[in-house]
Amino acid sequence: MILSKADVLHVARLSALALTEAEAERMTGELSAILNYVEGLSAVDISDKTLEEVSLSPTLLAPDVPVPSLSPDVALAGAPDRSGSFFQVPRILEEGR
Amino acid sequence: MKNPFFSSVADFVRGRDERRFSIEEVTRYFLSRTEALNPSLNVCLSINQNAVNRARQIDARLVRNRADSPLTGYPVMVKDNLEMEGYPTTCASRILSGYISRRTATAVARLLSRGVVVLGKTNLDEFAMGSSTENSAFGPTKNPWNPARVPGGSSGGSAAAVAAGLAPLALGSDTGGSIRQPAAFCGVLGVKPTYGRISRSGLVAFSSSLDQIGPFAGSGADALEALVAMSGKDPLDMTTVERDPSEMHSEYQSTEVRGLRIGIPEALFGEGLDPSIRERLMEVREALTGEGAREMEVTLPHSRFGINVYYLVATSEASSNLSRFDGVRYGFRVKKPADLRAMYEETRDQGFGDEVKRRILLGTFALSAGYQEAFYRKARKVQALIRKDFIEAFERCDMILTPTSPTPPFAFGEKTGDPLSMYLSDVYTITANLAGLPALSVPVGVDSQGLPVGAHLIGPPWSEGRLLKMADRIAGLYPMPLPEVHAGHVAGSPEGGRR
Amino acid sequence: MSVASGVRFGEWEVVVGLEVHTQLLTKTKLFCRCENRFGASPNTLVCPVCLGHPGTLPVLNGEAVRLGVRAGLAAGCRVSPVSVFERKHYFYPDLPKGYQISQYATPLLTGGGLRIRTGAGERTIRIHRMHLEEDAGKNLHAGIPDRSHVDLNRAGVPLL
Repeated sequence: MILSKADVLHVARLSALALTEAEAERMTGELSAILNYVEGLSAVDISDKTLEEVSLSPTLLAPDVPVPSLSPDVALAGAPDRSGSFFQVPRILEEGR
Repeated sequence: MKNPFFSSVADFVRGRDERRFSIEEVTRYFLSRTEALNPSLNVCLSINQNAVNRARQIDARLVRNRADSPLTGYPVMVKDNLEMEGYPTTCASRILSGYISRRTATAVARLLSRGVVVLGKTNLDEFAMGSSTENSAFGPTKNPWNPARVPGGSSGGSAAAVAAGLAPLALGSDTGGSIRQPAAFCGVLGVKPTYGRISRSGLVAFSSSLDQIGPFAGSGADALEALVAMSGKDPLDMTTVERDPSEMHSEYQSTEVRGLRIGIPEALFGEGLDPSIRERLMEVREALTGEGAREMEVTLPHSRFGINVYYLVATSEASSNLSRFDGVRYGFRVKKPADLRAMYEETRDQGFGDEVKRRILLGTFALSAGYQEAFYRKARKVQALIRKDFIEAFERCDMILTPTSPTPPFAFGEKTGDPLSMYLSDVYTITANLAGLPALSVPVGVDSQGLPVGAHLIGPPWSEGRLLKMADRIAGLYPMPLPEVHAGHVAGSPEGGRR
Repeated sequence: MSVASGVRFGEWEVVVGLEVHTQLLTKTKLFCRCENRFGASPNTLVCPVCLGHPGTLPVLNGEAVRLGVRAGLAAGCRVSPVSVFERKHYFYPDLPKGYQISQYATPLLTGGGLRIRTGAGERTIRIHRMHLEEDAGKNLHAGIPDRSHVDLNRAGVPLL
């Protein structure tokens, strides 16, 4: 499968990665080569219906008992930007999620 | 690998309990050796400034009480994608600069509760993505056998630490071969346990359905002690399985080479394998049959699709797992972004290295609308076929023997320009992760250039004890020479091979 | 929860679907053991798990599953013996992991309905599905010119 630079830029946007022109150019070639290789999978017959995707081991459930939370100072200690007890980011414009 | 105090965990226990040395002495020895060699090897990303204090506390405790674990006072290094409360965890990435962990990984906590002394945290490919430790934001680690060669990866720092004698035990993580391939490249033993054996709480996730934590050590018996200490169900990791860790001890004790059925996938000894490695492996096979093991041919028809499956499953999971690194709550954020979107995109572009970005893009693509069925879902189904092949093979044999790596340790820069050729380094190791099976690499001498060669053993689920015993039997047939490592000069020992 | 109904309007039939988020009255969050409580001061009910720190793993709250199943039984839903969580990805400051853990292909509950009394008599509102998911945190914009503030106390609260 050959990706176009537009494909790579679209995926970069989904991944929240700002690629430079040069990066996008290089990644387009590299990703196409890798996709070409992995497409070798198309040769495999997967018609076998027993190929379960989900393992059915029961999930361990936690008891609903509170454990003390971090103090806000510890929780915010590593924050690149904060204001009082809030994390701070550039203004959020209500564009769609 | 050698140190003046002890030659194994068992020997350490005798020396400690007979007071031939103090824990402080041992700790200081490894720390000063690390200080001397780290500038040339670049093994450690951080040294534990508290190690000597802890050693003293353990010594003080040992005056009053006997040690309650063989590992009490034992020195260990930890790959820097495993968390320790109050210490930095970098994952060798710029995006985690300044990050201080708020918890200790369960595997590390269990070793600490046995009394180990953590000496420092080791270098890795960024977020464990790579096969050479060249993808570290803090520069590559050198192979102690030959400083012009890579140590393998992603746990290259931990493998080199044990090989160069900076620690007798080190922890790594293995998603597609990240413990076993560097173990082979550095001439030490490295184990990836069964999926579900050891909790991953506190391991920074790369590919959650494949990641496992495991040890590097000088022998199977030493690795066994670390594995038993780290294993068992953990309420913080829903994928851990209720199994008694001591089953590994009993299986280690009861396993005999005589009569053992060793599965050989002949196709993996053919094209693509370095002739010098093949030669060593053929000698191992002959020696084992000489000891009474029986070879059986096994076919793993879908294993040749392992790399294809891996690079879809692992990158898909990675693209999701790494979306939390956004510069909002911790770590790196670009200065003065124009707006919120720019903050996300530029922080992640500058915070991640090339290989990480490549895998995030590939994974996002494989999961994106319109392609998910053809790529990610299809890969999961082929993964199930690979698993099925192994289940059938283990009806006929007790373990499978293959090479660990198709090539000897390669030169720096040799594969960085061609991601796909780098990915093929994991061709023999990757299927054990895809099938959730335990596997290890044991050193079997050196090749024609004096570089270490590894043999790879894969077993059915929960057979770690059996594999480790076999590893020790193989090591008994192949005593490894030691790399001669000096500060500023690192070289392999010239003589090698079978003695 | 989504609900559908039908009313005739001349030759048109109006079909209204509702997506309802119901907070479950558990003591702790859906995937960590921080308190599930409203009105606490900002970022006081947070831990490495709900802050999306590296190395953390979700551990499912059994009480949330029990309450979900109980609501489903009361509404006559089919309880799925296998129930799968999936990740819904988007980047937003109130979403610490970059994805919301939700249910998509295999929800906890399907079918069933609620009987309600209306002026025109009793009616049944059919239920398409009910699933468990975690809530996001809260972004605050008021009073700050070019910045937004984030409080993650609500991040991880169980929703049905």
